[in-house]
Amino acid sequence: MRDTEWGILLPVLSLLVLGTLGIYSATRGVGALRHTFPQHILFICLGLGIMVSVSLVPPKVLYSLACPLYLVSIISLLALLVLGTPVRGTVRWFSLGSFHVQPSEPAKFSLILALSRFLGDRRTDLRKVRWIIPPVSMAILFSLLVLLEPDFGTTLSIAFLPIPMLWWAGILPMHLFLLMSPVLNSLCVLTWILTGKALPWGAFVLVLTVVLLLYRPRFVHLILWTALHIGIATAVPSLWERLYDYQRRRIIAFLNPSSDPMGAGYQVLQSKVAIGSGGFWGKGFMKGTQTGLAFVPARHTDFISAVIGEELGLFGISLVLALFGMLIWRSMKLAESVRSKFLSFCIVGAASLWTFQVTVNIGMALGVMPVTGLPLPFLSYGGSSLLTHMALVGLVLNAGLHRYEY
Amino acid sequence: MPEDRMRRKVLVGGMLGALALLWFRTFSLQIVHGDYYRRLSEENRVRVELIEALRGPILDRNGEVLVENRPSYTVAVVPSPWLDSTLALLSKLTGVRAEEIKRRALVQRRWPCQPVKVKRDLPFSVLASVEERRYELPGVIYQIEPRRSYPFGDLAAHVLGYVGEPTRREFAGLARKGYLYGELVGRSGVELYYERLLHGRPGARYVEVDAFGREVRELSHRDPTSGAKLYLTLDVRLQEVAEEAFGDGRTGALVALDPRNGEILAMVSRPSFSPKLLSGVLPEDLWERIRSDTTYPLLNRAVQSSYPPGSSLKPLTAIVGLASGIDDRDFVPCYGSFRFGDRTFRCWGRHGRLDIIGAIAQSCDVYFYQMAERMDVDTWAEYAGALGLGRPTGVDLPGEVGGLIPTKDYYGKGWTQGLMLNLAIGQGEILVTPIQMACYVGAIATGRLVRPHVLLRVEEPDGRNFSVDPKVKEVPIPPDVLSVVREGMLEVVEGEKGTGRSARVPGVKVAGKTGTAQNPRGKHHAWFVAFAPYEDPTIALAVVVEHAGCGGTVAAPIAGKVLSTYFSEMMAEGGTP
Repeated sequence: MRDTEWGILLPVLSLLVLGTLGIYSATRGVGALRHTFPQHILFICLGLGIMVSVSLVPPKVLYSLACPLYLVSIISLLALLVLGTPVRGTVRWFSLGSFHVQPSEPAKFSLILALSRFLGDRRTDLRKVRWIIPPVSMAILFSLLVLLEPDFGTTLSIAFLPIPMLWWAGILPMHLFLLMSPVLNSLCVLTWILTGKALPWGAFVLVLTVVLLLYRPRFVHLILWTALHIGIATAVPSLWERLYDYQRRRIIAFLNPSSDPMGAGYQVLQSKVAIGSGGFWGKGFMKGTQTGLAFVPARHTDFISAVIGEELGLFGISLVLALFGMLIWRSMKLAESVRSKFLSFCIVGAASLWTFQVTVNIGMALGVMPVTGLPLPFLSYGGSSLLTHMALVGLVLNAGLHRYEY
Repeated sequence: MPEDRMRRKVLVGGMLGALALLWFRTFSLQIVHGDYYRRLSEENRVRVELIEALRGPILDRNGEVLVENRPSYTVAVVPSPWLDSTLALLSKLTGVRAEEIKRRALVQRRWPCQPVKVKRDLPFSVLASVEERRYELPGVIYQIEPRRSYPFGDLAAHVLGYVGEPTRREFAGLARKGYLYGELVGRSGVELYYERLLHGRPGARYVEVDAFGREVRELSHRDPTSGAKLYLTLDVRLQEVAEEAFGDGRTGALVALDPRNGEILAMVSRPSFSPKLLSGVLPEDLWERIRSDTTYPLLNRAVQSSYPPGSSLKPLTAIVGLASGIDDRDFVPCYGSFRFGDRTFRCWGRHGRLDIIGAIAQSCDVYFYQMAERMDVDTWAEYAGALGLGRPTGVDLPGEVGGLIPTKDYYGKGWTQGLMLNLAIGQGEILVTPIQMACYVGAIATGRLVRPHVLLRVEEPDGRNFSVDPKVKEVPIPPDVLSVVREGMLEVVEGEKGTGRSARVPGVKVAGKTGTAQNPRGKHHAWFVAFAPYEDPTIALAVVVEHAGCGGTVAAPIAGKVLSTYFSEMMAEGGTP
């Protein structure tokens, strides 16, 4: 008990309480959602059990489970694409009776374990390019499988994971830039397509050229990179054409939410109104008009922060952000002091995932991020997500309990 | 390792920095722009359901209803994140394209919870099929809305006008005046001119709703104020006879008014349109057909068209001649033509020697050529203006045109006295509207020029009542001049050789003047202007029939029918109408 990280456990427990209150308020009196709140309580109990179990498993066992779990996740994601139940045109869930299991959530857990195992290995030397490729490929394989479901938000969160972990492992900034350059390139091209502004893309090409010149790669590599970027710049426009309509609408609605207040921009607009009308203290618990009267869609899942923002105001959001800040800060402190490199990377992975999801989720409720459908860890309703994040907390606590072990 | 510590700080700093940015954004939304979003949230939660005010009815001078309201069903859809399948089904049932519904939702996004009207005046069969599939159509509602109905059918269509939905651009202006999207507005005629009176003020229900537009409860309620009841100066029976007398095949206009106060008793314009069709749900192709009709049925020719007046202008020339003291004793007799300079001006007959009364009665051109020879065009134009010609009369109907009375300035260097000869008989660069001619003949009859009007009396819904005061102006013409001209005009109808004998009414002395206006585009326009009774005029009228031929044979009989109805009605009521 002495080594229990209360600086991690307490914020998590507080966030669970806040989420429970938010879900209760958001689902009260809505017939279709009457099972949501009891189920959420059940998930919390299950999650606490998983958290405790994971924290007590010897790190060696986790280390040896990394590879099998990774394989299990790949199989489950593949199986989902073949056997899954399509819901509104996407295949994200396995139906087990009245419960739906979303395999992409536990996949995040196994990916963090696998990446940590690889990056924590003594032989790994990220100064050499050939050591960078395997972890990146591991993440890309996962994100491609999730993209096929399709689930854009989870894809992004999975694709993002290796970046902070590689940074923690000591990747050269130059390499990191080149690694991210395809994504940056696509984003800039997309901006060009949608807004007609070529400036970001021009700036990107300029920076890329400068970096490549400074880096002085081998001639073959230079040709390859150039070809890759030209390929991306030509492929993105045609890919854009093939995107699902709802995805395209979401991206457009993100860029200009008021363009279609009754369609894709509706959610963002309503959630902004909900949060903005909250003021400092909020409208009071259970007194939210926007969220209570169902103006904000998915208010108990992806837009739970809108409920908190409306009913508890700036105070509530500040509390949520402070708790997450505390959780992340304490986790990263622990990551520095943990002797096992494997466990250290596990913590960095967990903290990165939380940061990413919090930023994207609250950012989308605030209208600064596209609506991607990522849940808010610990607060949003959703069993798969909650259990995964509780398992990650267990992982961090585990590291705290075994911080002196190599 | 210092480099490692640096990396860690950057990563932790980045993570916490992201959270800090979120906090600043929240602060900006909730504190900096808090008031704005609070207002939005209020509007979101509260749906203002507008209760359209009942548009005021329009009646004739005797209280006969010309336009009233009847209930009709409108299907509407509550804007929400609607499903494409709902819109598709709704579009299939009502025949309104889904894009059109979305477009309407966008126009009215200032009222995010106001139902979007999909189709008005739904036939009962469509209503039933929508009702049958109620559960596939979430958010679809009906509203019972008043629509215009016309007990007399197409009667007086141009005076009454029609109503319609404003276009998107018009709506921007109307919204500032408190109009609701989807409300009907007057498009022409009285409906347009007295829009402000007829429209009333909409009521509102403030309803608390959820995002699906479901009503939670009513917060407050404001009753609508109906539009005012308008009594027009028109007389339904006279209007009916006038339209009947005019017939359907002809093109032209008729105006009959009371020369004592300017009340318009009947106004006809042909070809006409059906206000019922235009005020209803107008299919696009029909509207296109009406718009592209080269006979312009929507044009109210009585006030919006101008014509050369032909010989019906001769009383003016006679007035100018008499008032300027032109002596007709040295006029040459009419042998069918008149030489002026090196040009020959023709007369339509051989009238021999005539005095001014005979010249008016027989419409002798040669007599008036000789008057014109001695006449100053600017003096002539001044008298024309004093009698209301060539300028808008100020009638309370939209789109009135002024016409044209030329002056020396108008011709500039091209002026020669020969032009005056043409003007004197109502030909050349002169254009007048039928309503001007009615006022002109009325002014000759009474010595006073009136401002014509169709509105008689307004009854506000709160019981207030007001009448339109007549505007009358003395004409600066000596009474003895006018009485000579009147005598000539009496001879036109009652005399043995008069050109307007077919306008006679048994028992009543009618005075008038025929006109046959040459025009470059076909047969002559037939004119007839008249007033009666001769001794104490109570009615003045002007008739023009486009490309119909001679005024005496085409236009005068129409006037005769209207006058005889007018007087038989007056006799039946035993006094002045």
